[in-house]
Amino acid sequence: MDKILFNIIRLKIMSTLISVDTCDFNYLLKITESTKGNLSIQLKKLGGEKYINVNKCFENNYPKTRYKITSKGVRLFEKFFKDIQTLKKN
Amino acid sequence: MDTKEHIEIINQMINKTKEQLRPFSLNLIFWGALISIMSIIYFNLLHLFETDMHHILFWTIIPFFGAVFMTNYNIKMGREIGYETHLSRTIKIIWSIFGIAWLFIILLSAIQGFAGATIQFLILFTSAICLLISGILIKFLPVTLGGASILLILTLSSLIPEISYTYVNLFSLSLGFTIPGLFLYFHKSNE
Repeated sequence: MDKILFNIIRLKIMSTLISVDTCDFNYLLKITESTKGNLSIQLKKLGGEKYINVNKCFENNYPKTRYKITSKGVRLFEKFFKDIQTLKKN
Repeated sequence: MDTKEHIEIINQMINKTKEQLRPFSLNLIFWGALISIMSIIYFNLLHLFETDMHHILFWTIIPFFGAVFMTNYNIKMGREIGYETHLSRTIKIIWSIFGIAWLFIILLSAIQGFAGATIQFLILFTSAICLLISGILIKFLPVTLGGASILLILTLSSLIPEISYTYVNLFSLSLGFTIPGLFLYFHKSNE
């Protein structure tokens, strides 16, 4: 089983990113019901493991970060989902 | 946390992300209304358009500013929503290509000197195809029927050569854009 996705916040992030094309930090903050600090740490972890792509840009002079799941992330998320379904059946 | 809870979290997160079709419906209403109003003005003040350049300017400058206004609105809405689904990205690409096609048609008609009817036919035909694709993709029948109705109007107008461009525009834009846009705006799952 994938240890990265065992964390609840990381699982919430990946479940959200699998259903959208891109999303920003504020949306993830709202949907995961996490704190800014914790979310940043978990996003950094997922980015470091290449599960997600992080795109930083400026919009109206304000920094904006957008997140997108990578093909590796999709593959591992699907594997994780299959694994937990198998575990549930057993 | 057990496996059941993991599956529940995944389901919850996926279900929280809803398809946002309201901005698309407002785009349809805006373009339907703008071009219909422009058609009425054009028809009633036809005497003001003395040269080909007047016609081209009227049908290029106002839609150009309309495009700038709607692009700003779409960017602002994208920021407010905070995410973009795969479907909304596809719709965005389709209509961006329509925008490029529109510019290409205008440019080509300025170089080649196409007749007004040819330009109108090309733009309406391209928009009908984009509407058909969008309607099928979002699985919303009124938008698909809107695209089909523009194709039908274009076929009928080619059989009646004396028909006014204004009527073709008015019927096409109302049936193809404004009415499906209003249906989509008030659609329950879009709230």
